Amino acid sequence: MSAGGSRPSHAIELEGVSFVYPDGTWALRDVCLAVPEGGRVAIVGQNGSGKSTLLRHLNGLLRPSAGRVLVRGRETAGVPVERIARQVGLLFQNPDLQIFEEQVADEVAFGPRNLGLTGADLASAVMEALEAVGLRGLEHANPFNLGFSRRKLVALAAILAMRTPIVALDEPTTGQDGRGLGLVEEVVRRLADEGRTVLATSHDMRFVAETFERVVVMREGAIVADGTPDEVFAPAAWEVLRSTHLDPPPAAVVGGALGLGSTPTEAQLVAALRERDARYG
Amino acid sequence: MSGPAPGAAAAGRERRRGRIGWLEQTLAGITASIEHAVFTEQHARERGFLQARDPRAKLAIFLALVLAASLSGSITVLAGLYLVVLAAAGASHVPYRYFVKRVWLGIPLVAGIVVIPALFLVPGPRLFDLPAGPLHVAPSLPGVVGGVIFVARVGVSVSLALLLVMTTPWADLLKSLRALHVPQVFVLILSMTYRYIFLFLHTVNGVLQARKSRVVGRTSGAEQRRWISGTMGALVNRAFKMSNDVYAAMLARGFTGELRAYSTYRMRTTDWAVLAGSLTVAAVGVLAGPFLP
Repeated sequence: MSAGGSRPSHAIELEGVSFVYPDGTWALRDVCLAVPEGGRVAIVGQNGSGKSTLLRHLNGLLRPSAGRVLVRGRETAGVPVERIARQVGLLFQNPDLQIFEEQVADEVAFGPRNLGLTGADLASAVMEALEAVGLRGLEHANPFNLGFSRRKLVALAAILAMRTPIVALDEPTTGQDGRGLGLVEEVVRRLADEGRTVLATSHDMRFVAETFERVVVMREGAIVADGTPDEVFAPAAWEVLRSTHLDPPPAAVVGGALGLGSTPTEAQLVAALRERDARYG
Repeated sequence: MSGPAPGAAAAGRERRRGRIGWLEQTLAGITASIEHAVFTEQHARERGFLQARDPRAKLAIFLALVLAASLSGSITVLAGLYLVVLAAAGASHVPYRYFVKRVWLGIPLVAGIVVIPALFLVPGPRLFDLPAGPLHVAPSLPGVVGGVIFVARVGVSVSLALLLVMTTPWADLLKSLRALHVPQVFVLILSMTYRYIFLFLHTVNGVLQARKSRVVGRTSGAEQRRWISGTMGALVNRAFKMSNDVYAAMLARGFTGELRAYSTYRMRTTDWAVLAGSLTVAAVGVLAGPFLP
Protein backbone atom coordinates (compact mmCIF):
# COMPACT_ATOMS: atom_id res chain seq x y z
CA MET A 1 0.00 0.00 0.00
CA SER A 2 1.35 3.41 -0.84
CA ALA A 3 1.97 5.91 1.92
CA GLY A 4 -0.91 8.29 2.27
CA GLY A 5 0.82 10.78 4.48
CA SER A 6 -1.93 10.58 7.12
CA ARG A 7 -1.72 10.08 10.86
CA PRO A 8 -0.78 6.47 11.54
CA SER A 9 -2.97 6.51 14.69
CA HIS A 10 -5.98 5.98 12.44
CA ALA A 11 -6.89 2.42 11.60
CA ILE A 12 -9.34 3.47 8.93
CA GLU A 13 -9.84 6.75 7.09
CA LEU A 14 -12.38 7.46 4.40
CA GLU A 15 -11.87 10.78 2.69
CA GLY A 16 -14.78 12.03 0.61
CA VAL A 17 -15.64 8.53 -0.52
CA SER A 18 -18.47 8.16 -3.01
CA PHE A 19 -19.50 4.98 -4.75
CA VAL A 20 -21.85 4.40 -7.66
CA TYR A 21 -22.94 0.89 -8.65
CA PRO A 22 -22.86 0.03 -12.37
CA ASP A 23 -26.66 0.43 -12.53
CA GLY A 24 -26.26 4.08 -11.49
CA THR A 25 -27.30 3.67 -7.84
CA TRP A 26 -25.40 6.00 -5.53
CA ALA A 27 -24.50 3.85 -2.54
CA LEU A 28 -22.08 6.24 -0.82
CA ARG A 29 -22.01 10.04 -1.03
CA ASP A 30 -18.95 11.96 0.09
CA VAL A 31 -18.38 9.83 3.19
CA CYS A 32 -15.69 11.05 5.58
CA LEU A 33 -14.88 8.77 8.50
CA ALA A 34 -11.81 8.31 10.66
CA VAL A 35 -11.59 5.41 13.08
CA PRO A 36 -8.68 5.40 15.54
CA GLU A 37 -6.66 2.26 16.25
CA GLY A 38 -8.52 0.15 18.78
CA GLY A 39 -11.81 1.97 18.14
CA ARG A 40 -15.19 0.25 18.40
CA VAL A 41 -17.60 1.72 15.87
CA ALA A 42 -21.12 0.64 15.00
CA ILE A 43 -22.62 1.68 11.70
CA VAL A 44 -26.42 1.80 11.68
CA GLY A 45 -29.05 2.82 9.19
CA GLN A 46 -31.99 1.51 7.23
CA ASN A 47 -31.58 -1.23 4.62
CA GLY A 48 -29.88 0.18 1.54
CA SER A 49 -28.31 3.07 3.43
CA GLY A 50 -24.80 2.04 2.30
CA LYS A 51 -23.51 0.23 5.42
CA SER A 52 -22.39 -2.97 3.69
CA THR A 53 -21.03 -1.03 0.72
CA LEU A 54 -18.94 1.02 3.13
CA LEU A 55 -17.54 -2.09 4.82
CA ARG A 56 -16.62 -3.64 1.45
CA HIS A 57 -14.49 -0.57 0.75
CA LEU A 58 -12.36 -1.27 3.79
CA ASN A 59 -10.62 -4.30 2.30
CA GLY A 60 -10.78 -3.23 -1.32
CA LEU A 61 -13.60 -5.50 -2.49
CA LEU A 62 -15.18 -2.29 -3.73
CA ARG A 63 -13.13 0.70 -4.87
CA PRO A 64 -14.43 4.25 -4.46
CA SER A 65 -15.79 6.07 -7.48
CA ALA A 66 -14.41 9.22 -5.84
CA GLY A 67 -12.34 9.92 -2.74
CA ARG A 68 -9.86 7.61 -1.08
CA VAL A 69 -9.67 4.89 1.57
CA LEU A 70 -6.69 4.57 3.89
CA VAL A 71 -5.99 1.55 6.04
CA ARG A 72 -3.54 2.20 8.85
CA GLY A 73 -2.28 5.30 7.09
CA ARG A 74 -1.82 3.72 3.67
CA GLU A 75 -4.03 4.27 0.68
CA THR A 76 -5.67 1.12 -0.64
CA ALA A 77 -5.91 2.20 -4.29
CA GLY A 78 -4.19 -0.35 -6.50
CA VAL A 79 -3.48 -2.73 -3.61
CA PRO A 80 -4.86 -6.25 -4.19
CA VAL A 81 -7.60 -7.44 -1.84
CA GLU A 82 -5.52 -10.38 -0.63
CA ARG A 83 -2.89 -7.95 0.67
CA ILE A 84 -5.39 -5.69 2.40
CA ALA A 85 -6.86 -8.87 3.92
CA ARG A 86 -3.78 -9.05 6.15
CA GLN A 87 -5.02 -5.87 7.82
CA VAL A 88 -8.80 -6.08 7.53
CA GLY A 89 -10.93 -9.16 8.20
CA LEU A 90 -14.44 -8.82 6.77
CA LEU A 91 -17.39 -10.90 7.95
CA PHE A 92 -19.99 -11.17 5.22
CA GLN A 93 -23.66 -10.60 5.97
CA ASN A 94 -24.68 -13.93 4.42
CA PRO A 95 -22.55 -16.79 5.78
CA ASP A 96 -23.47 -19.00 2.82
CA LEU A 97 -21.49 -16.71 0.56
CA GLN A 98 -18.45 -17.05 2.76
CA ILE A 99 -18.47 -20.71 3.77
CA PHE A 100 -17.32 -23.26 1.19
CA GLU A 101 -15.31 -25.91 3.02
CA GLU A 102 -16.82 -29.22 4.13
CA GLN A 103 -15.46 -29.09 7.64
CA VAL A 104 -15.78 -26.31 10.18
CA ALA A 105 -12.05 -26.47 11.02
CA ASP A 106 -11.08 -26.26 7.33
CA GLU A 107 -13.36 -23.28 6.86
CA VAL A 108 -11.90 -21.45 9.85
CA ALA A 109 -8.37 -22.34 8.75
CA PHE A 110 -8.82 -21.03 5.20
CA GLY A 111 -7.99 -17.37 5.98
CA PRO A 112 -5.05 -17.85 8.36
CA ARG A 113 -3.63 -20.50 6.02
CA ASN A 114 -3.66 -17.98 3.18
CA LEU A 115 -1.89 -15.52 5.47
CA GLY A 116 0.90 -18.05 5.92
CA LEU A 117 0.03 -19.71 9.23
CA THR A 118 0.93 -23.39 9.43
CA GLY A 119 1.29 -26.21 11.93
CA ALA A 120 0.74 -25.48 15.59
CA ASP A 121 0.17 -21.74 14.99
CA LEU A 122 -2.60 -22.53 12.55
CA ALA A 123 -4.18 -25.12 14.82
CA SER A 124 -4.08 -22.72 17.76
CA ALA A 125 -5.62 -19.88 15.72
CA VAL A 126 -8.44 -22.19 14.60
CA MET A 127 -9.17 -23.57 18.07
CA GLU A 128 -8.99 -20.15 19.71
CA ALA A 129 -11.48 -18.73 17.19
CA LEU A 130 -13.85 -21.68 17.58
CA GLU A 131 -13.66 -21.34 21.35
CA ALA A 132 -14.50 -17.65 21.10
CA VAL A 133 -17.73 -18.33 19.23
CA GLY A 134 -18.69 -21.39 21.29
CA LEU A 135 -18.18 -23.94 18.50
CA ARG A 136 -15.39 -25.97 20.05
CA GLY A 137 -16.18 -29.64 19.48
CA LEU A 138 -17.70 -29.02 16.05
CA GLU A 139 -14.38 -28.91 14.22
CA HIS A 140 -15.26 -31.88 12.02
CA ALA A 141 -18.89 -30.96 11.40
CA ASN A 142 -20.00 -29.98 7.91
CA PRO A 143 -20.90 -26.27 8.16
CA PHE A 144 -23.72 -26.75 5.65
CA ASN A 145 -25.39 -29.13 8.10
CA LEU A 146 -25.46 -26.48 10.83
CA GLY A 147 -28.30 -24.01 11.38
CA PHE A 148 -28.08 -20.44 10.14
CA SER A 149 -26.98 -18.90 13.45
CA ARG A 150 -24.18 -21.44 13.83
CA ARG A 151 -23.11 -20.97 10.22
CA LYS A 152 -22.89 -17.29 10.98
CA LEU A 153 -20.70 -18.06 14.00
CA VAL A 154 -18.49 -20.30 11.83
CA ALA A 155 -18.08 -17.38 9.43
CA LEU A 156 -17.22 -15.12 12.37
CA ALA A 157 -14.66 -17.61 13.69
CA ALA A 158 -13.13 -17.74 10.20
CA ILE A 159 -12.49 -14.00 10.39
CA LEU A 160 -11.27 -14.05 14.00
CA ALA A 161 -8.72 -16.76 13.19
CA MET A 162 -7.03 -14.38 10.75
CA ARG A 163 -6.08 -12.21 13.75
CA THR A 164 -6.18 -9.05 11.66
CA PRO A 165 -5.72 -5.70 13.46
CA ILE A 166 -8.99 -4.44 11.96
CA VAL A 167 -12.20 -6.48 11.99
CA ALA A 168 -15.27 -5.43 10.00
CA LEU A 169 -18.47 -7.29 10.82
CA ASP A 170 -21.47 -7.01 8.52
CA GLU A 171 -24.62 -7.70 10.55
CA PRO A 172 -22.99 -10.14 13.01
CA THR A 173 -26.13 -10.38 15.16
CA THR A 174 -28.58 -11.33 12.40
CA GLY A 175 -30.26 -14.67 13.14
CA GLN A 176 -28.65 -15.02 16.56
CA ASP A 177 -30.54 -16.11 19.66
CA GLY A 178 -29.69 -14.76 23.13
CA ARG A 179 -26.67 -17.03 23.49
CA GLY A 180 -25.33 -16.17 20.06
CA LEU A 181 -25.86 -12.48 20.70
CA GLY A 182 -23.95 -12.76 23.97
CA LEU A 183 -21.09 -14.51 22.18
CA VAL A 184 -20.91 -11.82 19.51
CA GLU A 185 -20.91 -9.08 22.20
CA GLU A 186 -18.14 -10.89 24.04
CA VAL A 187 -16.13 -11.26 20.83
CA VAL A 188 -16.36 -7.53 20.11
CA ARG A 189 -15.29 -6.64 23.66
CA ARG A 190 -12.41 -9.07 23.58
CA LEU A 191 -11.19 -7.69 20.25
CA ALA A 192 -11.31 -4.19 21.70
CA ASP A 193 -9.42 -5.35 24.81
CA GLU A 194 -6.72 -6.74 22.54
CA GLY A 195 -6.42 -3.30 20.95
CA ARG A 196 -7.95 -4.35 17.64
CA THR A 197 -10.25 -2.02 15.73
CA VAL A 198 -13.83 -3.19 15.27
CA LEU A 199 -16.44 -1.83 12.88
CA ALA A 200 -19.85 -3.48 12.71
CA THR A 201 -23.17 -2.84 11.07
CA SER A 202 -26.32 -3.81 12.93
CA HIS A 203 -30.04 -3.23 13.25
CA ASP A 204 -29.96 -4.31 16.89
CA MET A 205 -29.88 -1.01 18.77
CA ARG A 206 -29.48 -2.63 22.17
CA PHE A 207 -26.36 -4.49 20.94
CA VAL A 208 -25.05 -1.25 19.47
CA ALA A 209 -25.72 0.83 22.59
CA GLU A 210 -24.15 -1.68 24.96
CA THR A 211 -21.18 -2.84 22.91
CA PHE A 212 -19.80 0.11 20.97
CA GLU A 213 -18.19 3.38 21.99
CA ARG A 214 -19.18 5.22 18.84
CA VAL A 215 -22.21 5.06 16.56
CA VAL A 216 -22.33 6.27 12.96
CA VAL A 217 -25.80 6.70 11.46
CA MET A 218 -26.18 6.44 7.68
CA ARG A 219 -29.02 7.46 5.43
CA GLU A 220 -29.03 7.20 1.63
CA GLY A 221 -25.27 6.69 1.45
CA ALA A 222 -24.32 9.62 3.67
CA ILE A 223 -23.39 9.93 7.34
CA VAL A 224 -26.13 11.87 9.13
CA ALA A 225 -25.02 11.41 12.74
CA ASP A 226 -21.79 10.38 14.44
CA GLY A 227 -21.17 10.27 18.18
CA THR A 228 -21.12 8.20 21.31
CA PRO A 229 -24.15 5.99 22.01
CA ASP A 230 -25.14 8.54 24.66
CA GLU A 231 -25.25 11.28 22.05
CA VAL A 232 -26.78 9.30 19.20
CA PHE A 233 -29.54 7.75 21.33
CA ALA A 234 -30.29 10.98 23.24
CA PRO A 235 -33.82 12.36 22.67
CA ALA A 236 -32.37 15.25 20.64
CA ALA A 237 -31.12 12.78 18.03
CA TRP A 238 -34.26 10.62 17.81
CA GLU A 239 -35.59 12.58 14.88
CA VAL A 240 -32.43 11.80 12.88
CA LEU A 241 -32.64 8.13 13.92
CA ARG A 242 -36.28 7.88 12.88
CA SER A 243 -35.53 9.55 9.55
CA THR A 244 -33.56 6.43 8.72
CA HIS A 245 -36.28 4.09 10.08
CA LEU A 246 -34.46 3.27 13.33
CA ASP A 247 -35.87 3.42 16.83
CA PRO A 248 -33.72 4.22 19.86
CA PRO A 249 -33.26 1.21 22.14
CA PRO A 250 -35.99 0.88 24.83
CA ALA A 251 -33.36 1.48 27.55
CA ALA A 252 -32.60 4.88 25.99
CA VAL A 253 -36.29 5.83 25.98
CA VAL A 254 -36.88 4.71 29.59
CA GLY A 255 -33.52 6.11 30.72
CA GLY A 256 -34.32 9.45 29.11
CA ALA A 257 -37.68 9.59 30.93
CA LEU A 258 -36.01 8.76 34.25
CA GLY A 259 -33.19 11.24 33.77
CA LEU A 260 -30.53 8.51 33.47
CA GLY A 261 -29.24 9.47 30.04
CA SER A 262 -29.59 7.40 26.89
CA THR A 263 -27.40 4.40 27.73
CA PRO A 264 -28.37 3.35 31.26
CA THR A 265 -27.40 -0.11 32.47
CA GLU A 266 -30.07 -2.61 33.45
CA ALA A 267 -29.05 -2.22 37.11
CA GLN A 268 -29.39 1.57 36.94
CA LEU A 269 -32.85 1.29 35.40
CA VAL A 270 -34.05 -1.20 38.02
CA ALA A 271 -32.67 0.94 40.86
CA ALA A 272 -34.27 4.09 39.48
CA LEU A 273 -37.65 2.36 39.00
CA ARG A 274 -37.52 0.93 42.56
CA GLU A 275 -36.68 4.36 43.96
CA ARG A 276 -39.52 5.90 42.02
CA ASP A 277 -41.83 3.13 43.20
CA ALA A 278 -40.82 3.69 46.81
CA ARG A 279 -41.25 7.46 46.51
CA TYR A 280 -44.67 7.42 44.89
CA GLY A 281 -46.00 4.17 46.33
CA MET B 1 -24.91 -45.66 5.02
CA SER B 2 -26.94 -48.56 3.83
CA GLY B 3 -30.46 -47.20 3.64
CA PRO B 4 -31.92 -44.83 1.09
CA ALA B 5 -31.26 -41.12 1.53
CA PRO B 6 -33.97 -39.36 3.62
CA GLY B 7 -34.72 -36.89 0.81
CA ALA B 8 -35.31 -39.71 -1.66
CA ALA B 9 -37.64 -41.50 0.78
CA ALA B 10 -39.66 -38.33 1.29
CA ALA B 11 -39.83 -37.79 -2.45
CA GLY B 12 -40.99 -41.38 -2.87
CA ARG B 13 -43.82 -40.92 -0.31
CA GLU B 14 -44.88 -37.68 -1.98
CA ARG B 15 -44.87 -39.36 -5.38
CA ARG B 16 -47.07 -42.20 -4.16
CA ARG B 17 -49.54 -39.69 -2.83
CA GLY B 18 -49.53 -38.02 -6.24
CA ARG B 19 -48.80 -34.58 -4.84
CA ILE B 20 -45.60 -33.89 -6.56
CA GLY B 21 -44.66 -33.02 -10.12
CA TRP B 22 -42.06 -34.74 -12.23
CA LEU B 23 -39.68 -31.80 -11.92
CA GLU B 24 -39.76 -31.89 -8.15
CA GLN B 25 -39.26 -35.66 -8.21
CA THR B 26 -36.21 -35.30 -10.41
CA LEU B 27 -34.67 -32.52 -8.38
CA ALA B 28 -35.43 -34.18 -5.06
CA GLY B 29 -33.80 -37.36 -6.37
CA ILE B 30 -30.69 -35.54 -7.60
CA THR B 31 -30.38 -33.57 -4.37
CA ALA B 32 -30.82 -36.70 -2.28
CA SER B 33 -28.15 -38.53 -4.28
CA ILE B 34 -25.67 -35.68 -3.96
CA GLU B 35 -26.51 -35.23 -0.30
CA HIS B 36 -25.90 -38.93 0.10
CA ALA B 37 -22.56 -38.56 -1.66
CA VAL B 38 -21.63 -35.71 0.66
CA PHE B 39 -22.66 -37.75 3.67
CA THR B 40 -20.29 -40.49 2.58
CA GLU B 41 -17.62 -38.35 4.26
CA GLN B 42 -18.97 -40.00 7.40
CA HIS B 43 -17.09 -43.12 6.31
CA ALA B 44 -14.03 -41.06 5.52
CA ARG B 45 -13.97 -39.88 9.14
CA GLU B 46 -14.09 -43.39 10.58
CA ARG B 47 -11.03 -45.10 11.97
CA GLY B 48 -10.44 -47.81 9.42
CA PHE B 49 -7.56 -49.30 7.49
CA LEU B 50 -7.78 -47.08 4.42
CA GLN B 51 -8.83 -43.98 6.37
CA ALA B 52 -5.53 -44.16 8.24
CA ARG B 53 -3.48 -44.19 5.04
CA ASP B 54 -1.93 -41.11 3.52
CA PRO B 55 -4.28 -39.85 0.76
CA ARG B 56 -1.41 -39.62 -1.74
CA ALA B 57 -0.64 -43.29 -1.16
CA LYS B 58 -4.32 -44.14 -1.60
CA LEU B 59 -4.53 -42.23 -4.86
CA ALA B 60 -1.39 -43.97 -6.18
CA ILE B 61 -2.79 -47.37 -5.15
CA PHE B 62 -6.08 -46.57 -6.84
CA LEU B 63 -4.36 -45.58 -10.09
CA ALA B 64 -2.14 -48.68 -10.07
CA LEU B 65 -5.02 -51.08 -9.44
CA VAL B 66 -7.29 -49.42 -12.00
CA LEU B 67 -4.47 -49.68 -14.52
CA ALA B 68 -4.03 -53.37 -13.66
CA ALA B 69 -7.78 -53.98 -14.05
CA SER B 70 -7.83 -52.17 -17.38
CA LEU B 71 -4.87 -54.09 -18.76
CA SER B 72 -6.02 -57.47 -17.53
CA GLY B 73 -7.89 -59.81 -19.81
CA SER B 74 -8.20 -62.54 -17.20
CA ILE B 75 -11.38 -63.07 -15.22
CA THR B 76 -9.30 -64.74 -12.48
CA VAL B 77 -7.15 -61.63 -12.05
CA LEU B 78 -10.22 -59.38 -12.03
CA ALA B 79 -11.92 -61.61 -9.45
CA GLY B 80 -8.73 -61.52 -7.37
CA LEU B 81 -8.58 -57.72 -7.56
CA TYR B 82 -12.22 -57.50 -6.55
CA LEU B 83 -11.55 -59.70 -3.53
CA VAL B 84 -8.71 -57.35 -2.55
CA VAL B 85 -11.12 -54.40 -2.87
CA LEU B 86 -13.73 -56.17 -0.73
CA ALA B 87 -11.14 -57.01 1.93
CA ALA B 88 -9.97 -53.39 2.01
CA ALA B 89 -13.59 -52.18 2.25
CA GLY B 90 -14.22 -54.54 5.17
CA ALA B 91 -11.08 -53.41 6.98
CA SER B 92 -12.18 -49.80 6.47
CA HIS B 93 -15.66 -50.36 8.00
CA VAL B 94 -17.44 -49.66 4.72
CA PRO B 95 -20.85 -51.39 4.82
CA TYR B 96 -20.67 -54.27 2.30
CA ARG B 97 -24.32 -54.19 1.32
CA TYR B 98 -24.30 -50.53 0.40
CA PHE B 99 -20.90 -50.78 -1.27
CA VAL B 100 -21.73 -53.80 -3.44
CA LYS B 101 -25.25 -52.61 -4.27
CA ARG B 102 -24.12 -49.15 -5.28
CA VAL B 103 -21.61 -50.54 -7.77
CA TRP B 104 -23.42 -53.55 -9.21
CA LEU B 105 -26.90 -52.10 -9.56
CA GLY B 106 -25.71 -49.42 -11.95
CA ILE B 107 -23.04 -51.21 -13.93
CA PRO B 108 -25.23 -53.72 -15.81
CA LEU B 109 -27.28 -50.79 -17.05
CA VAL B 110 -24.34 -48.79 -18.35
CA ALA B 111 -21.60 -51.30 -19.18
CA GLY B 112 -24.11 -54.06 -20.06
CA ILE B 113 -25.76 -51.93 -22.74
CA VAL B 114 -22.38 -51.09 -24.24
CA VAL B 115 -21.40 -54.76 -24.60
CA ILE B 116 -24.70 -56.09 -25.96
CA PRO B 117 -23.73 -55.62 -29.65
CA ALA B 118 -20.38 -57.36 -29.02
CA LEU B 119 -22.20 -60.47 -27.79
CA PHE B 120 -23.58 -61.02 -31.27
CA LEU B 121 -21.00 -59.37 -33.51
CA VAL B 122 -17.81 -61.03 -32.28
CA PRO B 123 -17.11 -64.07 -34.49
CA GLY B 124 -16.76 -67.50 -32.93
CA PRO B 125 -18.77 -70.56 -31.91
CA ARG B 126 -22.33 -69.76 -30.83
CA LEU B 127 -23.48 -70.52 -27.29
CA PHE B 128 -27.01 -71.23 -28.49
CA ASP B 129 -29.23 -70.27 -31.40
CA LEU B 130 -32.71 -69.07 -30.53
CA PRO B 131 -34.97 -68.35 -33.50
CA ALA B 132 -37.15 -65.27 -32.97
CA GLY B 133 -39.23 -64.90 -36.11
CA PRO B 134 -37.00 -63.79 -38.97
CA LEU B 135 -34.11 -63.16 -36.51
CA HIS B 136 -31.82 -65.51 -34.63
CA VAL B 137 -30.61 -64.72 -31.09
CA ALA B 138 -27.18 -66.39 -31.16
CA PRO B 139 -24.52 -64.91 -28.89
CA SER B 140 -20.97 -66.03 -29.56
CA LEU B 141 -18.81 -67.57 -26.85
CA PRO B 142 -15.89 -65.09 -27.34
CA GLY B 143 -18.46 -62.25 -27.31
CA VAL B 144 -19.93 -63.38 -24.00
CA VAL B 145 -16.48 -63.89 -22.45
CA GLY B 146 -15.37 -60.46 -23.70
CA GLY B 147 -18.57 -58.91 -22.31
CA VAL B 148 -18.12 -60.52 -18.92
CA ILE B 149 -14.51 -59.34 -18.76
CA PHE B 150 -15.51 -55.83 -19.78
CA VAL B 151 -18.26 -55.65 -17.13
CA ALA B 152 -15.88 -57.10 -14.52
CA ARG B 153 -13.23 -54.49 -15.40
CA VAL B 154 -15.74 -51.68 -15.07
CA GLY B 155 -17.04 -53.16 -11.81
CA VAL B 156 -13.57 -53.42 -10.27
CA SER B 157 -12.60 -49.92 -11.42
CA VAL B 158 -15.82 -48.34 -10.14
CA SER B 159 -15.47 -50.23 -6.84
CA LEU B 160 -11.94 -48.88 -6.46
CA ALA B 161 -13.10 -45.34 -7.21
CA LEU B 162 -16.00 -45.62 -4.77
CA LEU B 163 -13.75 -47.02 -2.08
CA LEU B 164 -11.28 -44.19 -2.57
CA VAL B 165 -14.00 -41.52 -2.36
CA MET B 166 -15.70 -43.16 0.62
CA THR B 167 -12.52 -43.42 2.66
CA THR B 168 -10.92 -40.09 1.79
CA PRO B 169 -12.21 -36.61 2.63
CA TRP B 170 -12.72 -34.57 -0.51
CA ALA B 171 -10.21 -31.89 0.53
CA ASP B 172 -7.52 -34.55 1.02
CA LEU B 173 -8.31 -36.08 -2.32
CA LEU B 174 -7.87 -32.73 -4.02
CA LYS B 175 -4.59 -32.14 -2.25
CA SER B 176 -3.43 -35.55 -3.46
CA LEU B 177 -4.23 -34.51 -7.02
CA ARG B 178 -1.98 -31.48 -6.51
CA ALA B 179 0.75 -33.81 -5.25
CA LEU B 180 0.46 -35.64 -8.57
CA HIS B 181 0.95 -32.28 -10.33
CA VAL B 182 -2.59 -32.02 -11.65
CA PRO B 183 -2.95 -28.33 -12.68
CA GLN B 184 -4.09 -25.98 -9.93
CA VAL B 185 -6.89 -24.50 -12.04
CA PHE B 186 -8.38 -27.92 -12.69
CA VAL B 187 -8.28 -28.86 -9.00
CA LEU B 188 -9.81 -25.54 -7.98
CA ILE B 189 -12.66 -25.82 -10.47
CA LEU B 190 -13.33 -29.39 -9.36
CA SER B 191 -13.32 -28.35 -5.73
CA MET B 192 -15.70 -25.41 -6.18
CA THR B 193 -18.05 -27.40 -8.40
CA TYR B 194 -18.35 -30.13 -5.81
CA ARG B 195 -18.87 -27.68 -2.98
CA TYR B 196 -21.45 -25.51 -4.65
CA ILE B 197 -23.50 -27.95 -6.64
CA PHE B 198 -25.04 -29.11 -3.36
CA LEU B 199 -25.77 -25.59 -2.14
CA PHE B 200 -27.16 -24.67 -5.54
CA LEU B 201 -29.48 -27.67 -5.57
CA HIS B 202 -30.74 -26.61 -2.16
CA THR B 203 -31.48 -23.20 -3.63
CA VAL B 204 -33.37 -24.82 -6.50
CA ASN B 205 -35.37 -26.92 -4.06
CA GLY B 206 -36.10 -23.81 -2.00
CA VAL B 207 -37.42 -22.04 -5.10
CA LEU B 208 -39.59 -25.05 -5.92
CA GLN B 209 -40.98 -25.27 -2.41
CA ALA B 210 -41.66 -21.54 -2.35
CA ARG B 211 -43.63 -21.93 -5.55
CA LYS B 212 -45.44 -25.01 -4.33
CA SER B 213 -46.53 -23.22 -1.18
CA ARG B 214 -48.21 -20.54 -3.31
CA VAL B 215 -49.91 -22.81 -5.83
CA VAL B 216 -53.43 -24.02 -5.18
CA GLY B 217 -54.61 -26.98 -7.25
CA ARG B 218 -52.97 -28.54 -10.25
CA THR B 219 -51.02 -26.64 -12.87
CA SER B 220 -50.98 -27.61 -16.51
CA GLY B 221 -47.87 -29.02 -18.18
CA ALA B 222 -47.57 -25.93 -20.36
CA GLU B 223 -47.72 -23.70 -17.32
CA GLN B 224 -45.07 -25.80 -15.57
CA ARG B 225 -42.77 -25.63 -18.59
CA ARG B 226 -43.20 -21.85 -18.82
CA TRP B 227 -42.35 -21.51 -15.14
CA ILE B 228 -39.32 -23.80 -15.50
CA SER B 229 -37.85 -21.78 -18.36
CA GLY B 230 -38.27 -18.56 -16.35
CA THR B 231 -36.78 -20.15 -13.24
CA MET B 232 -33.79 -21.49 -15.18
CA GLY B 233 -32.90 -17.97 -16.29
CA ALA B 234 -33.26 -16.64 -12.75
CA LEU B 235 -31.12 -19.46 -11.38
CA VAL B 236 -28.32 -18.87 -13.89
CA ASN B 237 -28.37 -15.23 -12.80
CA ARG B 238 -28.30 -16.25 -9.16
CA ALA B 239 -25.49 -18.75 -9.71
CA PHE B 240 -23.43 -16.08 -11.43
CA LYS B 241 -23.98 -13.63 -8.57
CA MET B 242 -23.23 -16.34 -6.01
CA SER B 243 -19.98 -17.28 -7.73
CA ASN B 244 -18.90 -13.62 -7.69
CA ASP B 245 -19.77 -13.25 -4.02
CA VAL B 246 -18.05 -16.48 -3.01
CA TYR B 247 -14.92 -15.47 -4.87
CA ALA B 248 -15.01 -12.04 -3.21
CA ALA B 249 -15.29 -13.74 0.19
CA MET B 250 -12.28 -15.92 -0.66
CA LEU B 251 -10.23 -12.90 -1.73
CA ALA B 252 -11.24 -11.13 1.48
CA ARG B 253 -9.55 -13.95 3.36
CA GLY B 254 -6.27 -13.62 1.52
CA PHE B 255 -6.87 -16.17 -1.25
CA THR B 256 -4.26 -15.87 -4.01
CA GLY B 257 -5.26 -18.84 -6.15
CA GLU B 258 -3.18 -21.42 -4.28
CA LEU B 259 -5.09 -24.18 -2.48
CA ARG B 260 -3.76 -24.92 0.98
CA ALA B 261 -5.19 -27.95 2.79
CA TYR B 262 -5.51 -27.82 6.57
CA SER B 263 -4.14 -31.29 7.24
CA THR B 264 -0.43 -31.83 6.84
CA TYR B 265 0.49 -35.22 5.46
CA ARG B 266 3.40 -37.50 6.14
CA MET B 267 3.97 -40.87 4.54
CA ARG B 268 4.57 -43.37 7.33
CA THR B 269 6.23 -46.77 7.05
CA THR B 270 2.81 -48.47 6.90
CA ASP B 271 1.77 -46.21 4.03
CA TRP B 272 4.90 -47.12 2.08
CA ALA B 273 4.37 -50.82 2.86
CA VAL B 274 0.73 -50.76 1.72
CA LEU B 275 1.71 -48.84 -1.41
CA ALA B 276 4.48 -51.32 -2.20
CA GLY B 277 2.14 -54.26 -1.57
CA SER B 278 -0.53 -52.81 -3.84
CA LEU B 279 1.93 -52.09 -6.62
CA THR B 280 3.13 -55.68 -6.37
CA VAL B 281 -0.44 -56.98 -6.57
CA ALA B 282 -1.06 -54.78 -9.61
CA ALA B 283 2.17 -55.90 -11.30
CA VAL B 284 1.53 -59.59 -10.59
CA GLY B 285 -2.02 -59.19 -11.92
CA VAL B 286 -0.82 -57.69 -15.18
CA LEU B 287 2.07 -60.13 -15.67
CA ALA B 288 0.21 -63.28 -14.65
CA GLY B 289 -2.99 -62.39 -16.53
CA PRO B 290 -2.00 -63.91 -19.90
CA PHE B 291 -1.35 -67.28 -18.21
CA LEU B 292 -4.65 -67.42 -16.32
CA PRO B 293 -8.21 -68.08 -17.57
